[in-house]
Amino acid sequence: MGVGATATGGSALLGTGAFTSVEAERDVAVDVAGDDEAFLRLGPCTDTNDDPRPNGDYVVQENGLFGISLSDDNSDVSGDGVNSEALSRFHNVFEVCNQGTQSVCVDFAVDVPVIPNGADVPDRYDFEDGDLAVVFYRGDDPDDPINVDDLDPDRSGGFPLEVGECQCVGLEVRAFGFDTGEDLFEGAQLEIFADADADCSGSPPSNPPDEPGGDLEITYADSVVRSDQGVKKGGDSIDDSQRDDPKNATGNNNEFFSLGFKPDDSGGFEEDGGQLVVMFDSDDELVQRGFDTDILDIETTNGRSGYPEEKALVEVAGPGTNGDFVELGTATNKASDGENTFELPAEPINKVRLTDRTDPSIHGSGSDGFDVRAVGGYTRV
Amino acid sequence: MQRRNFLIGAVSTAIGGSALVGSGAFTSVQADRTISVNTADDTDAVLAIRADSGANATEYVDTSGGTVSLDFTSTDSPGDGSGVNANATTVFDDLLNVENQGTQAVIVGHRQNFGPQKGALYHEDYEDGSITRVGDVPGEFDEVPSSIGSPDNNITNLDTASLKNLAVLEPGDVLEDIGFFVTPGTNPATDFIDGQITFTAGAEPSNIGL
Repeated sequence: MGVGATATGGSALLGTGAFTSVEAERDVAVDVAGDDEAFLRLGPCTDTNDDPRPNGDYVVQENGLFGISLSDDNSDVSGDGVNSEALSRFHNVFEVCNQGTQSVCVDFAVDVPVIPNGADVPDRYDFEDGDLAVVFYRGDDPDDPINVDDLDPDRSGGFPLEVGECQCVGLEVRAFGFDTGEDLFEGAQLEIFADADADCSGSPPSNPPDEPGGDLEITYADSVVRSDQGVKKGGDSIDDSQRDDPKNATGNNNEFFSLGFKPDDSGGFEEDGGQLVVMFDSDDELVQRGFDTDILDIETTNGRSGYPEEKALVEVAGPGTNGDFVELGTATNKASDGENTFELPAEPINKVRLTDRTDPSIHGSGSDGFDVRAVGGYTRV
Repeated sequence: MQRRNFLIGAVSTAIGGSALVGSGAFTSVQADRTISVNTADDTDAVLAIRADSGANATEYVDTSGGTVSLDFTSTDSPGDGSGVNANATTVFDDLLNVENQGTQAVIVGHRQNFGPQKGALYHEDYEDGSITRVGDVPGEFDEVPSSIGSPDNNITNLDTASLKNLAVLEPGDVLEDIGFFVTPGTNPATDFIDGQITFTAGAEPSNIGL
C-alpha cells in the first residue's frame, strides 16, 4: 500500500504526457528534526525492538533537544538524584545512532567533576578521591569506559557507527564527598561530535592515570615566587628550618613548608592564612592531558588519622589563564596518601598559589597550618 | 505491462528523491547538550532510604545529614536507657523503609562491615504478600543459623541470605518495616564502632555482587 500510494503521487506528475516545457518551483527543505529523529539520533537507549530501555527515562527532550537529567527536574523518574556517599550505575541510558548515509566516528566530551580531595571513599572500590566522579561506558559494561576528556573523533577514544547503527551509553556516578542537592556537572555541557571523515578504527591509547604517557612527563615546581608565612596558632613564629623554608615546597622530596595562620586584630584569625606562590620554568609548564585527568598534584605531609584537618585554597595562573589566578578547590591533609589532585582549567599553567584555610578552632596552639610538600603535574617534553 | 513498467519508474523516482535528500546527511554533526546529575538526600534519592514512622524510628534513626544512620547506644526520652541488655536478643523493629525510585525492578539487600554474628537488618514485609522475592516462594524463609539469633528470617544481608529470598522492588515499591536485631553478648556501644551498613540494589544478581 505504501508503495502504491507513492507511485500514484508520482504517476500524477509523470503521467501528464508530452509537454514543451515545465517550470516548477521546488522547495529546498532542510528540516530541523528533534534530536531523537535527526541524522545523528540522540535519544533514550532502545532495545532491538526499538522500545526504550528502562534507564532511557533519564533522557529528557526539551524543545526537541536531548538532555540527560538525574535530578528532580526529570518528571519521568520519582527519585530526585543519586544517593549521596554512594556508587550508582545506570546501564543503557542514552543512545547515539547514525541515521545518515555514511559511517561516522562519534566522540563525547564533558567537563567531568572530580571526587573532592579528602572524600571518604570506601576501600572496596578501585577509585579514590581525586579520580573522576562520573564515568561513561558502553552499553551495560562499566569495564568499557568512554574517554570524554576532549572532543576528537579521530582519537581512538571515539567509536565508529555504521549507517543504521546505534551505541548505547551508560554512566557510573561516584557521589562521594559532594553536598546533597548539588549538580555534579554544575551546568557543564555534554559535547557530541560525529564526523564521517574521522578515523577511529584504532584501539584506545593505554595511558593509565598514574603514569605519564606519550610526550608528557611528571614535573615539580622549580622556584618560589612569593612566600608570606603565617604563625603558629599560639602566635609564635614558625622558627624551624624544616618548616619555614619555602624552597622546601619545590621539587619532590620529603621536606615541606608550613603555611601558618594569620591572626587578626581582634584576637581571632583571618580566613586566609599564610600564602605561598611557586613557579614552573618556561620549559616545565603544566599542560592538560588529552586522555584521562589533567592533574595538578598538591602533596602534603600524610597526617596521622585522627589528626585535625588542615586545608589550603589552590589557585593556578599562567599563559592559559591570561595570567589571572583561577580557583581550583581545596587541598586537605585528609586526601588519600596526602595527594590532592585537581583538573587544570587551561594550559599552560606556570604558577600555583596556596593559601591556608585551616580552621584554627580544631587545632592546638603549636599547629602551623597546611604543610606543602610538593606541587607537581604534567609537562610536555 | 506498460502500467507495471510505469509503476517501477515511479517507484525508482521516489527512491532517487530520497537518496538525494539523504545525501545531505551528514558529514559531521557537533552538538552541545545539557547533562545534570544531582546528589539527593537518602530520603529522595534513586534508592530512597527513609526512617519508618513510629517510636523506634524516631529514637534510633538519624536522617539529618542527608544520609541515614542508626544509633542504639542511648535513648533520649522518655526513657533514659543507655544500651541493650546483655545476653539477650534485642529487636528494634520498624526503623527504615526503602523505596525503588529508579526505572527498573531491582533486588535489594545490604552488607555490613561488622560480621554476621552481632546482628543484622531484617524486614517484615513478606507476610502480607506485598513484596515479591527473587525466588518468589512465600512462607519458606531461609533457615538462618541459630547462632545469629532471632528473628530468624527475612534478613537482607547479601552475604548470608539466600538469593531466592531477597526482596525484589519494582519502581515505586517500598520495602517497609526494616528492623535491626542485636544478638546476645553484643554491645552496640563497642561492637558497632565505625559499623557500616551498605544498602545495595541492582537489576541482576551480578550487579550486587552475587
